[in-house]
Amino acid sequence: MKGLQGLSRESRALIDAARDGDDPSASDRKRVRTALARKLAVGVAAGAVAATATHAAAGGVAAGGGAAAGTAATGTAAAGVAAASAGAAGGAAVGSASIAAGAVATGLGAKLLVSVALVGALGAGTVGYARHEAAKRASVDTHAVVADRAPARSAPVASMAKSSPVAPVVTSAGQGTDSLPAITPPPAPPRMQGGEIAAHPTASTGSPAFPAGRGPGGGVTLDAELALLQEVHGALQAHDGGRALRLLDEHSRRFPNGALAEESEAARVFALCELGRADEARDVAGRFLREHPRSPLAPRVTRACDAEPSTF
Amino acid sequence: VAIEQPRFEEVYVEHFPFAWRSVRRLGVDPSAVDDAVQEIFLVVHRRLAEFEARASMKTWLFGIVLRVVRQHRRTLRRKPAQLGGAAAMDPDVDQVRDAAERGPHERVAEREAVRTLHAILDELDDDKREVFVLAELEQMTVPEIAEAVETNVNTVYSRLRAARRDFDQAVARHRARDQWRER
Repeated sequence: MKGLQGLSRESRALIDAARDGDDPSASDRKRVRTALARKLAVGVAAGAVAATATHAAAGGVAAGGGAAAGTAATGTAAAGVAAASAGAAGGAAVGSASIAAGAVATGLGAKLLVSVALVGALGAGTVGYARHEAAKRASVDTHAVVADRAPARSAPVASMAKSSPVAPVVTSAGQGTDSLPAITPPPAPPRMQGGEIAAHPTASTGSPAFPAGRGPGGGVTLDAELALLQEVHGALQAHDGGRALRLLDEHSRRFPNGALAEESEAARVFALCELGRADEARDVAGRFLREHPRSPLAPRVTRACDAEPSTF
Repeated sequence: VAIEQPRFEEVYVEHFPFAWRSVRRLGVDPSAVDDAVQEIFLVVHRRLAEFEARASMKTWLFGIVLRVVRQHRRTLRRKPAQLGGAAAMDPDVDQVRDAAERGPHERVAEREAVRTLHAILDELDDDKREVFVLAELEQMTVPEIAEAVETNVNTVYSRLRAARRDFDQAVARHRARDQWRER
């Protein structure tokens, strides 16, 4: 501001004293993020789907059962965004829900809407892990905020968030309460390989009640599958239908009985549309609708080759 | 080479505090701050693809902040705060910082300063206020401000000059009132 007359000393002093005072508090951040995530989720999913999902998330907490420490997660989970589809097999185990679910919902949402069914489809192992994350979120607000403001200052949690190998769910969870459901996946979501989750510093939370992702359902595999679908989503967002298709083929190969088959089939429809292969898209869509008539993705699949809405 | 689009999550994390501060400083009533900030980021989310990388994200975002705030102003302008008056119990101000982060004395002093700042900002005309907030509180440059408020540099200079003058006078008045009150 050189060349302009400056403020009086008194004014300057006032501004210096007040400068930091308008920053959001931890609770401001958490509250707004939660509300925004919910609105975005609703924007992503059709209204009815979102309503169902939210309901499922709330119910999932109760149904989740398991470790008593899960109660820590309940608060967050109740605030959780659109979780889980009623249709998915694992629906009952959705205790995980919470923002992790939101991450899935909005994160994959844009084009895929994998989202909605995703958490519901998660196996028990991942649910355990996600619940663990949720509990962590619920109990380390302070860390979460610090992590957000200055990653360098918050050694364990922040660094964990940074280095977290699990693409969407953990990225979101790792950043804690202030972490908005990832709207877009990281450019190249790292694939989960066996053991990486176990290497995750569960100890940092001091809640051994949540064995990290090694539940009976094979959470590691599921996370890998989820990461792959995130890549698909990224490709679709980049309008790279070819890459999306290749990734989906990889998905079929690696996870022939994958928990996210429904989502990947829907994604295939979107990818084919993206490539202008409408006839094939219709075939796949038809099969999808026969096999999953009640899928929350069904409306989206039905309209897949219509002009993409400019917003979601 | 395609320009890499910023991710919404990154934009949100980086700029949420800026949006929050700006909304508060531009005179939105505390009860409406949450809504205004959410609205801002809903617009950001919807329009992120339109963001042109040659602009700064902060100035682009502030354009959105301004539009939302102007809408809110029409309905929900902050009630003029009187120093030491009802605003002293404004619960919103109690949350300005994490309690654990600072000592109680610092927080009280900061809260008081924020209250005074808002009261004085409330006395400025809207266009001066916008420029003043960006220049003095966000420390943006005049060209950046011109972009953010969509006007030319000369206009920003003249608004800023007037805003500083008004601000100084208002501070002096407040100080005088305080002294009178403490007597």
